[in-house]
Amino acid sequence: MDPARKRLIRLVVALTVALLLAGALAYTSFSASSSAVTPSQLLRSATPGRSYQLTGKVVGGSIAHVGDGITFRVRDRAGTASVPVRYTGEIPDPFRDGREVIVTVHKDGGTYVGEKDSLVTKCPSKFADPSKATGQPA
Amino acid sequence: MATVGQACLLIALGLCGYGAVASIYGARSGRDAFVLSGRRSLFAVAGLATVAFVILEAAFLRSDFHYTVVATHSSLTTPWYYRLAAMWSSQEGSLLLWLFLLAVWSSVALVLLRGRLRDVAPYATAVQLGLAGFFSGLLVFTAQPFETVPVAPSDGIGLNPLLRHPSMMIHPVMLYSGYTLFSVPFAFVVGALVVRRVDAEWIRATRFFSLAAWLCLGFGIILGARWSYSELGWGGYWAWDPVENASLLPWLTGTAFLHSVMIQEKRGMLKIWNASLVLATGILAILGTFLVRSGILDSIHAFVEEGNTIAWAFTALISVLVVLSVYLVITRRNDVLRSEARLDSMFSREAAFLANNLVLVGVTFVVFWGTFFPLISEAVTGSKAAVGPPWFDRYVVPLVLILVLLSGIGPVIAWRRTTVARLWGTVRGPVIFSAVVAALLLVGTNAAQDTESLILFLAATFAIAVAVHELWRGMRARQLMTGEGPPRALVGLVRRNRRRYGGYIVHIGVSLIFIGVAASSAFQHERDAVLRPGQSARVGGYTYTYLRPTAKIEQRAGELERISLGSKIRVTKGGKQVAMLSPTRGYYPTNAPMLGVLSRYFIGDSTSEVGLKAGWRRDLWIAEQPDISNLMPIVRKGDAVFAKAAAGGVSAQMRAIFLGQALNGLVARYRASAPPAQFRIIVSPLTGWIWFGAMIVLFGGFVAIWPAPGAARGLVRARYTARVARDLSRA
Amino acid sequence: MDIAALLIVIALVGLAVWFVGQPLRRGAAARARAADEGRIADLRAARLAKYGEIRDAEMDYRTGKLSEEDWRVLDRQLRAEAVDILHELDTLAPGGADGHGEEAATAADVAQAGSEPEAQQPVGARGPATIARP
Repeated sequence: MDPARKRLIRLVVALTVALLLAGALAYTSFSASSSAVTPSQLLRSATPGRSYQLTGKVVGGSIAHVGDGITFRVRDRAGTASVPVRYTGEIPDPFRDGREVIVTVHKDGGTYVGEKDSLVTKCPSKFADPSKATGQPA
Repeated sequence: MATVGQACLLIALGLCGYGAVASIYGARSGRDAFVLSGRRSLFAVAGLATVAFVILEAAFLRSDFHYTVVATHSSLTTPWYYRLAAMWSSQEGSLLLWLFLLAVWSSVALVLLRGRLRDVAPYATAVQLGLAGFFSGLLVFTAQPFETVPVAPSDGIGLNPLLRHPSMMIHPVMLYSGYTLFSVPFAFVVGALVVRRVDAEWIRATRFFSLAAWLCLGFGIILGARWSYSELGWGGYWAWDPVENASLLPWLTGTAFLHSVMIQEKRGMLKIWNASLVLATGILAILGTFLVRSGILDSIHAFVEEGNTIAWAFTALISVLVVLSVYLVITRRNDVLRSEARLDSMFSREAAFLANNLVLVGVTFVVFWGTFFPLISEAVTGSKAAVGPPWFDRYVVPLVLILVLLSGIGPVIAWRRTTVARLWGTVRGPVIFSAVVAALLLVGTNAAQDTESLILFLAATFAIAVAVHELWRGMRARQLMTGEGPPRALVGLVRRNRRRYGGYIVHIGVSLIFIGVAASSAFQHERDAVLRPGQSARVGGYTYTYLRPTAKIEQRAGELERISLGSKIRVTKGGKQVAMLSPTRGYYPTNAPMLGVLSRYFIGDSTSEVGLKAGWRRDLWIAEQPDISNLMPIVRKGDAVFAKAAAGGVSAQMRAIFLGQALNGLVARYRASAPPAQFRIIVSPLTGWIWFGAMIVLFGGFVAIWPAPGAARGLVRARYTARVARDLSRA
Repeated sequence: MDIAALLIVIALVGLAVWFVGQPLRRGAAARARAADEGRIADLRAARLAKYGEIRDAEMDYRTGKLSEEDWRVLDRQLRAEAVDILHELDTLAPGGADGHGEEAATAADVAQAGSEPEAQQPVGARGPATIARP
C-alpha cells in the first residue's frame, strides 16, 4: 500500500472515530441534562420525578431550618411566582434572602425537593450594574 | 484626577485606531516611518493604561468614595492590600486591568522581538492595537471606571468577604496575564499568515510568550481551585462551573500547542494545525474573559441580563476573530501551510505528540460542549438544559488517563520511527516499577475499590518513572561524555536542554496533581453532622470532637470588621490527638439602611473559615454553619430598643457604647450556650499532592522558560558551531 | 473639570502626539530590505533546529532509544538536510565583505535566540570519515 493511501485511510479512520465519539457525547449530554427553568415555568409544567435546574431569587423571609435541612421559596427574577423548595446539603456562604440561586430539584407532591449539594448561590453584584442595586449589600 | 484617568482612556482609544492603521499602511507601502509610529502607539497606549491604572488604584488606596467603583467595592475596614485587589473585583476595574496587562505585555513583546520578524511585526502590532482598542472602547463608552459622584458616601459597601483571600488577589491577575500573553503568539500568527511566512521563526520568536502565558494561566487556575477548597464551605476544588471551564479551555489548547509546536520545528509538519491551535487559544482567551461577565450562562459568576451591551460587544469581537482566523487558514492552506514532511510511522514521537494533541483537543471539545450546552440545547430543543459534573467526569477522566499514559510514552520513543523491541528496552524499567507499585497498592491499600483511580495511579506512576529515568539516563550519558560528577552532570544536562527537561519536570508535577485528584475524589470520606458541644463524629477513621464554641468580635481600623462564631474541634485517631481545628463563620455587618441596628451585624454576608489540617497522606477538613436562631429574637428586641433610643434623643455616643455592650453580650451568650451547629467533615487522602504537584509544574515551567546560559558563552559556541558547519558544507 | 486636570490632560495629549509622531518627522529611511530577509531568517531558524535535531538524535542513541545502526542512518540523513539548509543560506547571504559575516550573524542569532540547546561535543569531531555520504 503506498504511503498516500495509508495516510488517507488513517485520516478516514481518525475522522470516523472522532465523529462517533462526538455523537456519543452529544447524545448522552441531551439525556443526562436537566432543563433550566424558572419558578413560573416549573409551576406551569413540571413532571413529577424529572429533575430540573431551578433558577431564581430567594424570597425574603422564607428561609427556615427544618431538621437537618432548610426550606425556602424561590421566585422569578422579575415577578412574584414562587415555588417552595426543601433542601438538605451544603449551603453556600452567600445564600440568603434576595440572592440569586441555582438548585437542582424534582417535584414531590406540592413541594420541590432539592438534590443534595446542588445549591449554588451566585456571587452577588460581582459585575452587576450598580444602578440596579437596591441597597442590598455587596 | 478622575478626568485625567478618563482622558487617558480616551487618548488610548484614539491611539489604538491610529496605530493600527499606521502599522498596516506602513507595512503595505514599505514606509518604515509609519511602522515605527505604529509601534510607538502601542508603547504610548501602555503608558496611558498604566497612568489610568495607577490613578484608580490610588483612589482605592485612599478610599476615595467619590469614585462609584470604590464606593461599591471597597470600604474603610477593607485592609489596604484587599483594597488594591478590590479594584479588579469590579467590572470596570477588571477591564482596565485587562487593558493594562495587554498593553504592557504586548509592548514587552515588541521590545524583545525588535529586529526579528520585521515583515510580520507590523501586522501583529495592528492586531494587538485592535484588541486594546476594543477594551479601551468598552472602558470609554460602557463601563467607565472613573465615574464620580459629587457627594461621597461616608463608607463604601465593601469587598465581598468571600474575596478576602490572598489567592483571590492574585488569581485574576494571573488569569488575565495568561490571556494577554497568549495574545502575543495569536497576533504574530495572524501577521505571519497575512504575509505568508509561517515557518520556523514566528514560533521560536513567540515561544517565550506562549510558555509564560501557559504558566500564568495554569497558576491562576490552580489558585482558583485552592481558594475554592480552603475558603468556600463545600470542600471541593473543581465544580465544572462555566466560569472555571472558561479559563481551562485556552489552557488546554495552549498545552496542545506547546507540544505540537515541537513537531513543526523539527519536521516542518502540522503547520495548519499549529496555526489553528494558536488562533483557537487566542479566541478562547477572549471567550473566557467574556463568559465571566456576559451573563449568557447561568453559573456562580454570571448573570443572565438581557440586552447587556458588553455581551453584544464581546460577541461581535469573537465573531470577527473567528471569521478572520478561518479566512486566513483556508486561504493559506495550500501554499505556506503545506507540510514539508509526512508522518513516517505511527510508532514515533511525532505520532505520540499527535496523539497527545488529539486527546487534549478532545478534552477541550468535551468541556466546551458541556459548558455551552444550555445554549446548544436551547437552539436545538427550545429549552435550556444543563449537564452536571458527573457528565464532565465521565468523559474527561478516561481522556486524562490516556494523556498521562502518553506523557510517559512520548519521552522514551524516538523521533521519526522506532521498533517495539527498542521501545520495550527503554520502557522496561518504568513498567516494572509501575507493576511493583500496583502490587503494593492492591495489597496495602483499598485502591482496588475504584478501578478508574487505580489505572490512573498506575499511569501516573509510569509517567513519573519515565521522567525520572530520562533524567537519570541523560545524566549518565553526559557523565560518560564529559566526566563530570553526578550533580554537575545533572545540572549541566538540564541547562543545555531546558525545554525538554523542564518539560519532564512538568510531567512529574502533572502526574502528581492527577494522583491527588484521583485519590481525593474517589477515596474521600465525607459526612454532614449536627453536633453539640461535647459530641463527636467519626469520619474516615478519625474522630472529630466538638470541644467548645468560640465567639469573637474582630476589629480593624477602629471599626468592627466581623463577628466570628465557631468552635474548637479536636481530631483524634486511635485515641491520639492529630489536630486541633477552629472552623468559624464570619458575619460581616452590612450598611443596608432598612435593617435594624443590631440585625445588620448578623444578616449581612457571612463566610466560612474552614478548619483545615493538611498533610502528605490526607487532609482533615471541617466547615461549620452555626445556629444563631436563638440569638435572633434577642437581636430583634435589641433593634426595637435602639430604634426607640434614637427617636427618644439618646446621644449617638451613648448609643455606640450600648451597641458595643450589646454585641459583647450576644457574643458571650453564644460562647456560653451555643445550640448544636451543622458541620461538614471531610477526610480526603492525598489532596496536598495537588498543590505540591502544581508547584513542581511551576518549577518545571521556569526551567523550560529560562534563557540559556550567557550570551558570551553562546557567542563562543556559536562561532565554533559555525566553523563546524562550514566544515560540513565542504566535506 | 478643574484647571490642573485640564492642564495634565493637554500635556498628556501633547506628549503622546509628539512620541508617536517622532518617526514620521525624522522620516526614518526605509531600510534597504532584501527581498529574502524573511527567507534568510527562516533558514537560520531551521538551521538551529536542525542542529538541535542532530544533537537530540545522538542523545537518543546514547540513552538507548536508538540502535547504533538506526542512529547512523538518521544522523547521515539529518546532516544532509543541514547541508541543504546551509547551502541555500550561503547563496542568499554569501558571508559579506570580511568573509566572517555569516559566522558573526550565526553568533548573533544564537545569542539572541537564547534557549537553544548547545553542543555537548563538537558535531563534526569524529572527523571527515563519518561525514562521507553514501
